[in-house]
Amino acid sequence: MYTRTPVNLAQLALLAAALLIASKALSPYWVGLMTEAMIWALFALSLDILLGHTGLPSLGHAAYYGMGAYAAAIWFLRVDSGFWACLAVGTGAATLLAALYGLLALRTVGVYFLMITLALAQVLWAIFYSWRSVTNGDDGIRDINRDNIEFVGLRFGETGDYFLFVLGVFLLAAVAILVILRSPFGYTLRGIRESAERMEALGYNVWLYKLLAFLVSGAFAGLAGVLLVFNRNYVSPEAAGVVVSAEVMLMIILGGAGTLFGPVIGAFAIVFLSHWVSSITERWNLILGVIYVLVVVFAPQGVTGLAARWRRLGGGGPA
Amino acid sequence: MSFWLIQTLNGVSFGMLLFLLSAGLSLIFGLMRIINLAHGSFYLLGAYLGIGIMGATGSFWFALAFAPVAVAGISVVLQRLLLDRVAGNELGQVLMTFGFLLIASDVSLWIWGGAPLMLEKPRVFDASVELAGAAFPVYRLMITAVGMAAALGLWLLIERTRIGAIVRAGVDDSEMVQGIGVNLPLMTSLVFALGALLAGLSGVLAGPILGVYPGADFAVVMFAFAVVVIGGLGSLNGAFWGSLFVGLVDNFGKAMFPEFAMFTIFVPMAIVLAVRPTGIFGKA
Amino acid sequence: MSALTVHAASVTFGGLSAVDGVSLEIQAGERRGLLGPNGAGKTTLFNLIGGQVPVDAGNVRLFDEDVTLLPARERAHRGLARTFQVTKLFPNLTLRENAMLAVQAIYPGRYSMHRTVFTYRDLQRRVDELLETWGLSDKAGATVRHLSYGDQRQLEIVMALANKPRLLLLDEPTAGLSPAETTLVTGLVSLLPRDVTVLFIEHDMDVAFQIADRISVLNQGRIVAEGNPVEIRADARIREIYFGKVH
Repeated sequence: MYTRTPVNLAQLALLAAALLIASKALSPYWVGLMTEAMIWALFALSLDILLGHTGLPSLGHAAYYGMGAYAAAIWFLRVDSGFWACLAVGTGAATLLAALYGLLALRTVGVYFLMITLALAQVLWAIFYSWRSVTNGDDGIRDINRDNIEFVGLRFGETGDYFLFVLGVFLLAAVAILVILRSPFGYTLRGIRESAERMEALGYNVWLYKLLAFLVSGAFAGLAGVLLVFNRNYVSPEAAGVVVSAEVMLMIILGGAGTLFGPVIGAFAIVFLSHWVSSITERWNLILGVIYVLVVVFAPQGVTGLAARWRRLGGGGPA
Repeated sequence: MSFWLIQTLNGVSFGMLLFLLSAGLSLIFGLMRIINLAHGSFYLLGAYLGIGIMGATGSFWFALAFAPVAVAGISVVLQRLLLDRVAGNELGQVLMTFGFLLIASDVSLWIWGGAPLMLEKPRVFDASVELAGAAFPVYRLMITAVGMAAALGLWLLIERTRIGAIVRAGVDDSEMVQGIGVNLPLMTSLVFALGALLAGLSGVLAGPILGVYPGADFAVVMFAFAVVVIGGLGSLNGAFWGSLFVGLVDNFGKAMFPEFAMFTIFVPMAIVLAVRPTGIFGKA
Repeated sequence: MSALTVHAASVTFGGLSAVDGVSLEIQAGERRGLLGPNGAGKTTLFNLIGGQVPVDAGNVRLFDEDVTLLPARERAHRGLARTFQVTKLFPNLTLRENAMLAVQAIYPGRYSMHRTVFTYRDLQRRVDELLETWGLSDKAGATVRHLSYGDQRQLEIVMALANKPRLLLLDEPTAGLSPAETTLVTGLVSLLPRDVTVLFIEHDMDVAFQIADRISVLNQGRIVAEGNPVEIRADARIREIYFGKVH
């Protein structure tokens, strides 16, 4: 009827199948890269809940990503090296941070909101950088080791096995996000994006929805952070830094904000592009900077936006 | 006693350097409502170009005179050609200026390499002044003087001249200002260029004491950020007092609590964000 | 029974009095027109009734309940619905999604995240019925920003009616509409059952006199006249306010 959910689920299944097949055929380097791409894709999906669907441009989203990573790492090293405990702690810490930061940031609008979210993330970055006794400062935490973790026969120490685990988590999370975005809550968020005043007049508690969006978004970002720290076996303050925050935003814009798979496309594109370009030149940052400018000028609706425009032009019917 | 005096003077001179850097950022926001993430690049380019000019001519004064102007020129080209296209689109501006930041950062790395470079200050500044039993470099006094002069100059320009009145009106209501026939595009380019010029100037001036290195743009943007968050966006007052505050806090912080590094700035920043998000002198 | 009582309400914007000690009472089931020249304070009055703007003095009672301190969303839950002078719809969503959000607003499941909205069949049925009733079903899939202005204005009213409000505020419902569209809207309003009380702002005198049981005239933030359409039509002062003194 009016739902494309079955179609989207099929698309996800297709992506999963493609990744699975690729992982059997390619070297561990590529498998590791695909793992990284999925982690960024999850991170991008989480930000899009706020950015594309609620219309809240959170410029400091790396805060929740970094918090998830650090909380999991510190718990792993100092309290309990049980993987699931670390996952829970990381995701939980990120969610709590999102609640706090959401309460603070939602007192502002527009450019001030952008500024505050960035500034709040910088505060966290500074804490990671300065609190050497807990976070090891700018050296980062390097003793993470997933060799001893096992789950349903998967040995996380093996690149291929960890890839499968991350694939599983990514799929579950993507389906969850899909349902959330299609739920009454999700539609309310889009209504708020379009006209918060109208939503209030209709009877919605707009502020509460925005805060809940922060929580949901922060939780998934934190989850991505946990997967990240176990993928790389280390974390540094840069995980909460402005470069990461900007890059995940670029991924969303490139792929198409407010769409279901735009962020995923954008994430995969940037991750693979960055690795390929870095192998042939040292000037990846320059090229990335140019991409930022080009995307903003020529494709602000992202790849999915361009695709929609072509479809409309080519397929006939009203624009 | 002399410890406090020296640290205060250091803090003030650093604060004045920050003022040169942040004043433009704050004003640009007020007029154009953009957060210019590439502001740190103006500083970086100012320093590197300064080194280049000094390398070619052997004169610090040439570098001081022309590097900022070159930076201002580059800024206007970027603003007219690209930034204007995303007027009103806050997210677009943020992403685009971040792109500029990356481009400038990498091009600088490409041209000048990764090793930290220092600008050589002229002999006349080699001296120190005796203050309460300690030696304080004349160079830092000069920076303080330049900063104060710039603050005074900007204040006069904005509060006491016709141009300034137009800028202030533009900050309050840009549509109205255009409606009465003011050439707003020209004005915004001038304000933007002025902001870039000051930032470039701060880069050259900082050259002999802080040096320049890849990543200085990011580091400096952080400080500029702290200044405008604490002082308030769009306010010259805010930029001035915010800079002094950040300069002093950072200096005393590093001197007294070296293990806390960046933290000393971010605590006041966090407090301001929690209590008065638009900054102490900011307009809502 | 009084549907709406506004008592000595004032709203000032930086020294300028937009609404100055306005008192107004509307009986349940009434159709009240609010007239007045531009800048008289009509929309501000609407905004204080709707909750978009807080009062600086006075109070507002909705069906005998004091709602003065309640935010707009709480008033919506107490049966108040409104349209806006400048269309406030959800431009990038479809017509159906717009209507759905209106219906969903007081629905208990509106915070749920674990099921798609399409699994709530009763909600979807109510949306379909709403569109059927007001003749918008054939445009359901259109993106709102591509709809004609007339369709958008119609959608705004339909959305306000989504949850059977007890008090409906219409801010210039026929502004910018063609004569045919105007007839459509006036027809729509006259068809409303009397358990909906209607307060509307209008510039089109003919429309106002056609729909209204009573009319209040606002000028410079104050009520200057109140009466039935015949009385108001005959009142020379009203003509003066709109058209200036005739010498």
